[in-house]
Amino acid sequence: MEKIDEVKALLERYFNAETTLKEEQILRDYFRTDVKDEELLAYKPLFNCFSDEADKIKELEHIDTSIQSTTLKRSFHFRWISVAAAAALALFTYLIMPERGDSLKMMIDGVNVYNKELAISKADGQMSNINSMMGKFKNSTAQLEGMGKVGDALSPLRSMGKAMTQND
Amino acid sequence: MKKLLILMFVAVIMPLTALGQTKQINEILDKYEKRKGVESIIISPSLLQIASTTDVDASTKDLLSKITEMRILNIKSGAVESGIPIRLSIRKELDGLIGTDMFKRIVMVKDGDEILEMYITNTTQGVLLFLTTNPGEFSVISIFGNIDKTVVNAAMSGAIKVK
Repeated sequence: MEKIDEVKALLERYFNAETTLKEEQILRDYFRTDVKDEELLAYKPLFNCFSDEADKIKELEHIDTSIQSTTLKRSFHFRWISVAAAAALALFTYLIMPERGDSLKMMIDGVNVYNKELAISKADGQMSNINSMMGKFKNSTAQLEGMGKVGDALSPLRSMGKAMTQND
Repeated sequence: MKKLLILMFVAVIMPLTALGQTKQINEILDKYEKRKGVESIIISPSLLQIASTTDVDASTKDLLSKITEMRILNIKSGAVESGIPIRLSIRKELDGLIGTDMFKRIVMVKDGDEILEMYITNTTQGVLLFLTTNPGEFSVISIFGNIDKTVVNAAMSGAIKVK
């Protein structure tokens, strides 16, 4: 009963804007309990609204924190995906194009032959043969170009011949 | 997420496409290099040199940096497997590849009994392929790397040599 009187007194002070923060907290705490007094019951929604709001703010803060942690987890997740993709690409490149440590490797009849000079000599022979054939191709191209030049040189004669035929 | 997936897809697929032709040639060369009557030589660009000619407009260092590897396969005419000359088997496999849109023939030179064919891949990151045929042997000389115009010019000028 004393409590009810105390609350009523506090309420009066509250509506006169004379309560301290501590006293307002006492009021909020009281109205969160099971209020039996009919007179006081009318004020319950007012103070519960504040406390509900406070609860909701707390809830929202909690949700925000969990969202932040999920976003953080996601970004962390994506970061690892990109790292994994880069690693997979590196591994893939390694598998497709394994680094051939040897600068020179020769195999004859399926047997590895470790003779650098012989390998270079054979490779050189092949390239020399190709270069020699390419040289012949170049000569032929030069000859064709020469024929073209002869054709160009003869063109004035051709036009002269044409003019003379027309005069006849 | 979508962008990331697309990026990952492109990052994985693009090298695959570019390496496709190189891989196919390497597979054929790998298949035949261990046979009897076949000689295989793999050379790194450090053992190659580019002779300076007037036709080659890029510096030697630049050209060599574009070449990743050179492979030579010599198949003797007498090399036979299961009654079929190996030179015919490998030629058939190579024809199946160079006959596609992925390759184009640049030059064919016939000098007496000898024939030289030069092919390049349509993508610059690919292969420069020489096929030489004479009565004694059939040879496949492949140069892998960034086969651009300067490398092709150097090859056509007969400027690529072995040290």
